[in-house]
Amino acid sequence: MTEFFLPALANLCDPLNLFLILAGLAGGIIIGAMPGLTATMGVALMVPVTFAMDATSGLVMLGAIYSGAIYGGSNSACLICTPGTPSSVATTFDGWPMCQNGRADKALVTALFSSSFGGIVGTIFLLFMAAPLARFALRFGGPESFWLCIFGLSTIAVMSSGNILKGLVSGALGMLVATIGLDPHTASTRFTFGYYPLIQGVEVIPAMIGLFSISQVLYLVGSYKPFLATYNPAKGVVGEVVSELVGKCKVILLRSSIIGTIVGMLPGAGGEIASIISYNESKRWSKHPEKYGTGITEGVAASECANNAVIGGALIPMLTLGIPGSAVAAVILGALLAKGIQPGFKVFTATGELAYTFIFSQFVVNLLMIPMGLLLVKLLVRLLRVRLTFVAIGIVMLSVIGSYAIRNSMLDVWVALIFGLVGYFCRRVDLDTGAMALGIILGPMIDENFGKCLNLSNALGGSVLQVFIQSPISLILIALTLLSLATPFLLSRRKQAKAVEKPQAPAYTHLLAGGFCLLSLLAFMPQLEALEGAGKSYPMLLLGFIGLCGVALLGLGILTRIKAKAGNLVLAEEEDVAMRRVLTVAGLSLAYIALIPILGFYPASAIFLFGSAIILNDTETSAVKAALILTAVMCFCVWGGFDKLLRVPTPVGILFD
Amino acid sequence: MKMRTAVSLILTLALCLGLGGMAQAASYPDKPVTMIIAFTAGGSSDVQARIMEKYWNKLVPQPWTFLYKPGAGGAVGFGEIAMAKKDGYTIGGFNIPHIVIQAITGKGQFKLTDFDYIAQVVNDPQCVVVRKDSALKSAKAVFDQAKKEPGKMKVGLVGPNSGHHLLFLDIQEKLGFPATPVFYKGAADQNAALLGGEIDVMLGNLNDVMRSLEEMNVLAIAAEKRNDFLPKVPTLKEEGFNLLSDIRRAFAAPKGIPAEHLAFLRDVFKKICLDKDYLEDMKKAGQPAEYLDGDAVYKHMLEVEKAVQKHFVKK
Repeated sequence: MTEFFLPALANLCDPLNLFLILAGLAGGIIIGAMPGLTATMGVALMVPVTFAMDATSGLVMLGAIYSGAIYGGSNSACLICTPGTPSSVATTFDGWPMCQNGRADKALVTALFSSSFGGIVGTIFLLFMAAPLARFALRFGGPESFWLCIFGLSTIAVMSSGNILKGLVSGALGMLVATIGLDPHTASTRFTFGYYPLIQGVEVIPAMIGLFSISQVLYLVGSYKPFLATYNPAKGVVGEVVSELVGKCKVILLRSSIIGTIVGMLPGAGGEIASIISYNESKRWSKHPEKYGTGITEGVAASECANNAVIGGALIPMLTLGIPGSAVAAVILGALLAKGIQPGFKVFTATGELAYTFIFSQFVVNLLMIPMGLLLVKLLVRLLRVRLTFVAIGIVMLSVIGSYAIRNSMLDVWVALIFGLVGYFCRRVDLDTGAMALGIILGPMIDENFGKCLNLSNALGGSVLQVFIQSPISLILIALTLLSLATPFLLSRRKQAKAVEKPQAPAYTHLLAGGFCLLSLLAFMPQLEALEGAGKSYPMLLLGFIGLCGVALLGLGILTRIKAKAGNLVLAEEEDVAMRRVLTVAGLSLAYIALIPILGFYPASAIFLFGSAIILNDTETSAVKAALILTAVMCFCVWGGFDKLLRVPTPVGILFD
Repeated sequence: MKMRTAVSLILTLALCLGLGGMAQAASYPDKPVTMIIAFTAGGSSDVQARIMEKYWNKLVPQPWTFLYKPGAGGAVGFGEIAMAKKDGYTIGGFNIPHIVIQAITGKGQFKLTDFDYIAQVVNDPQCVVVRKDSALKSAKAVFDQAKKEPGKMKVGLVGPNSGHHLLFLDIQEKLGFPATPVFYKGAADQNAALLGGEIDVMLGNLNDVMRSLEEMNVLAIAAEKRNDFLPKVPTLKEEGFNLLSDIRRAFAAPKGIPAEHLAFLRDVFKKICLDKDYLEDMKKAGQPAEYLDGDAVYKHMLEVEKAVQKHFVKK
């Protein structure tokens, strides 16, 4: 293999390739930072461009976009609590609180260095251990994948310690929503509420845009804050972050990189799962788990490091076996095949120069990411100086185009809005939107692998249990799951030693949450009859669980009310919310989305931006001028970026194109 | 004299009309044509269409605008083609048998008569595939082994209600094939399962199998004749089994676009499909090219419809 090293390095010094790396990286970061524009889409959009290049240059550029986009997702996660790509969900857990504490710069720089580190470790595995790791990845079949997902799900228990009932039911609600569409076992329609377009199911990304972005907009607008966060930059933040990463985070970085690489190798499981698992592993093994979620370096590092390590992992089975380890790897595989390059272990010998140039380029990409990211951090923190109202209105427009762009479907825009309202409601009643997102991501994989196990059991004379527990990997994952479920109890014991009484959530939150569960049950229940087989038993299980939790929550609510009346409970203080403003934004967004199919995207957006800016303006001076500037800047940026640069179609109206 | 004037007048008129007609035909398309792809960007269907795009651009001054409408195994995008404006400025790619199955089982909101068919471009035959180290060395050995221990053999399929499933049921009907089907979401998962040993045999498309040839043994191919990609692999017919199955890619417009536009599209697609460089590009990308004109595609679909009726429609 070493004979290819020199020519590969020479290829990388080619100015064209360096230029493509820089351009791909910059483009990738921007795509990743935009909620709704994912790494997959960024890479797929550029595939046709690579047809005009030689194979090496094309591949190098696609790799740069991939890495850039996965890193880019962390920026919006930290600054506006909206994961730019699904991989950055776990980054919001600590990145956003850190930003709220006035240290946006630290959050962003931590994400940057951790991403770069994770990417490099992933690439080292790709370089030296591709063959044995690929063999290992093959041992993950249906049962193993099933247990991996269950393990991922069990992290909800760790995530929402102190609030496990609501955490679990949030996850189950997410899984329930994910069953809408075609069921994977018999290919019959499921839970479409008699509305045909729902046959395409609820796509993860629009749902996440709703749960995170739009609900965040509603929350921010109702918060009376003038800006997103106060911002107290510290001099020498780079030095501070590096010393923390090298000091207390080195184990976390290594562990997260390894988790990322392994999860990346498995087909179907990608960055979103890797980052959540490694976040929770960091929390589990930490000496001060209670600090997670308050804005600490470790949390951001664990998540961002893992999702970039996924890249190296995902490329391993793609290059060696022709089996892509992630959706993006699948697209890159398509580009490779179109160039007539056959994947396989021979890829390192027959087309060694190409393979090693690509691998080395990943090192370069991850190193160049640092200066480029630092520059970007300087630019991005300026967002914190824009008035919050305007940021919020801008996010609504980006959410609309972002959710539309996934499948060019207005249904997805509505999904985003509905999930925005649901997400806002869930926050008010302490249901966990992070767990719900996890349910939406993992639900379909659990459903599918569950069915696969049932299929496999037929060959064993119907012994389902045997299929589920026959492999050592399954047993290990089951053990990890049990450990994970036990963690909150261990954590609370540790906490009790410190004896701080946490204020209880008020009764109405339990009552509303319970009511919401039972309503969902009622909405889905009648459609259950039309289903059959595994396509029925899985949602039935979920519905049963949700129903039980709903009843339990109602009971808890009543109990809390009685106790509160008796006066022996410390209740959490209610947050002051500008409900009128929240409802105004919700109503304006609704009107906006309804207007798009009539007026077309840009006219509707301009009216929405201008109108909302005037109505919601919270400063006395120059409302019209500010509104005009916002409208012009947003429309121009979206038009230039989406229509012209990326050539992503925007929704067409009856009146205007 | 008068006669001559009249004749020349008529001739001139006819010529003018003819030229006018030609000018009109030549002016289509005078704006970009929307190309609906019913699968995700970067997928197999997209890659194939992008190769065609390269040659379309050489023949037609107006480009394609790609519009991805993935969802429900293609049903969303196919429906989108059927419902598009009938002006010849929206066309799209579709797959057989997917579209036939969806039309019949009600998964799609369209019928086969809702389309004007332009051309078939790919015929991707299905193969019987095992791992390199498998003891099964021929299709016959696979079928025999399945009968020896009924239910024990695990056969990986992409599905359910797919082309793979259709072939599986066809084998069961014709040969009695007591194997256990295991369904996968896509070819990537299916390939991984075969290599990892979760399944013993898989029915996979040539295009997908080609990616992992180092690790797999292709035992037989369910086509009329051997394929250029794998000339050593016998057809199932040669092995004595009358089984044919493939997945085909084709293009269509909504029913009722202007006849001359349809003729223009059919003509351009035919020219592309017979282009030597195009065929070379297709071969490099592992896409088994096979051209059929629009009418032949529809005829083939009616054949498929019968098989689908037999296996997937509950009596």
